[in-house]
Amino acid sequence: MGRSKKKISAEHTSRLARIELPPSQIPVVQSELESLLDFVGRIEQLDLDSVEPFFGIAIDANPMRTDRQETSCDRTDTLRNAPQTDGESFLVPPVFGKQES
Amino acid sequence: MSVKATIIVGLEVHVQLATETKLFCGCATAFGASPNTQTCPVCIGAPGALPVLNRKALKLAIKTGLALNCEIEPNTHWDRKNYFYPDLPKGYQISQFDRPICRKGYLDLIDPQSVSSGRRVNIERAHLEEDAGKSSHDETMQGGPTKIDFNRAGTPLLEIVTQPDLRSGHEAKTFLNELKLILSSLKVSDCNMQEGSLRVDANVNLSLATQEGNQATPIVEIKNLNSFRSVERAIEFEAERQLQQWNKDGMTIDQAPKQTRGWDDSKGHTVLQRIKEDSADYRYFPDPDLVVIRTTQADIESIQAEIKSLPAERRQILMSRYLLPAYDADVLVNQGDTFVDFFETVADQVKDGKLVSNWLQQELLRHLNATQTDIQACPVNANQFVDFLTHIQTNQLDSSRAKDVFEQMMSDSVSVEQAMKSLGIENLDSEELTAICQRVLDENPEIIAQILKGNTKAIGNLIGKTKSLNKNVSPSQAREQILKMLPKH
Ligand SMILES: [Zn+2]
Repeated sequence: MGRSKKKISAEHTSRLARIELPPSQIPVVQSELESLLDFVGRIEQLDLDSVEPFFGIAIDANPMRTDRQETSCDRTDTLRNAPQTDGESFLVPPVFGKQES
Repeated sequence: MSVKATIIVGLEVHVQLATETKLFCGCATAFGASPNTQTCPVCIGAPGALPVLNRKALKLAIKTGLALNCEIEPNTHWDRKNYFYPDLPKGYQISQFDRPICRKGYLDLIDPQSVSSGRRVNIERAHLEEDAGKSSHDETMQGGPTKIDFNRAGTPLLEIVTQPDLRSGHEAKTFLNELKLILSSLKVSDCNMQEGSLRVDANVNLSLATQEGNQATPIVEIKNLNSFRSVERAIEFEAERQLQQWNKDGMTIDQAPKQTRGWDDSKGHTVLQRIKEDSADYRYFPDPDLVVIRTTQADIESIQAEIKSLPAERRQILMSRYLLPAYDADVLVNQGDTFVDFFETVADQVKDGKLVSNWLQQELLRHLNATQTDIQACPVNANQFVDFLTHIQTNQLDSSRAKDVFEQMMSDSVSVEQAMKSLGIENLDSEELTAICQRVLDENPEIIAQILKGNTKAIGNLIGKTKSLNKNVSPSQAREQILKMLPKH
């Protein structure tokens, strides 16, 4: 099952990742992304139909925790690095602007 | 133009699992705490913090999956769903994409009063994920800052996704009622919609049988559904709106993208919120901070063993063992497990399921609803209720006074004897009854004449008169006695 050959768009990807990309940089990043994908894509030359997908080496380890409460952080510490707070909540620029009611 | 429109509905239900702590850290999940007091480096997404799975959340997810007849994924893993929003501190949500813990289940609709009963709704998947934080927007709409509280961030959710198998708002409501009963019975969630423990989104469109063949309208995802009743209303509204829209522009599912619309319960309509992003835009990929979780057949069997009778089975038992009609069984089971337990305890002793069911439905439920009391806190326990019904069965308590006695028992939390005593109800001995009947017969020769002429209804007058002489007279016993004493032709 081959990966779809849909071309990656540097512009679209940068927008999704909220990374500002000057127009002059777009062709550069575009070609870098393509060569990265080509490199990874080499695996498709192999016949892997009978191979189970691999998600990690720690199979059977099942590290889990017991559902027991631990002490949370002091709120002052939680909020310490926030650009803006009211002492209880993080404050962020309005998600809905004035116009869009 | 007239076309036959069929409503196609699929549901996405987010269930907050009943754990003490979050999915990947030890912060409490209790509702209503002061903002940002239940947070730590893991759930606020501090760099370097590592998530560790909560064993109970996984177990509750598997339990739900088994109750919904799902296959359990032996090697489940975690994916990052990437998007930017202020209440998502890491910039991604830990979720499950291609190997959800539960897949391919089903739930049969049960509604004795509807043709939908017995229809099967397929469950596509149920996966675990962490909740986002809570944003509070400036209510004055003056452009003030949005407040973010991360207490909810990282709370375990099970997202249950159905196939588009539902065909009306009513069916969706029936499905949700049954699902909620199951979740409550399994103690998987408190299912409190007001506190957001149960959130429902509905995907709705129409299949239209036209002269040019079958067509479908664009899919709309409805959000802001805060009660099962809203789900029902929103689906019915949306079906009507889509039909009108289709008559106007004829746009089909291939010509317009999926929309998200919000339900406004007070106005009774849906409002366009946004055009849905393509799911590939979330750029899911396996979370490298978490490993595969392996679930063995033995794990599954031990969880399965903890599941006792589910609501569907309890209805069957009420019908077969206690001989209740389907309607009664449904009403009782819809009250939850404790209520059914109460019924079974009483009915096992009273040996008349229908009598017990009638009293539970008509009087007990009415009283509990009126006083907003839960069956757990019922002022009359099962033994007292048995005693009460036995008094009726053996004529120690006349059915004409039974409701008063029951009310007294409920309001004062007392036994049937105490209630009868405080209402001044005593059983007359047969001598006393005979004397009262004799007096009434002596004083009312004209009524006797009517009865003898064939107006048998007039006997009710005599019974009434015995009762006004002594309110403890049992009408049925008085009738019997009067009939015995009436002069023969
Ligand atoms: Zn935490």
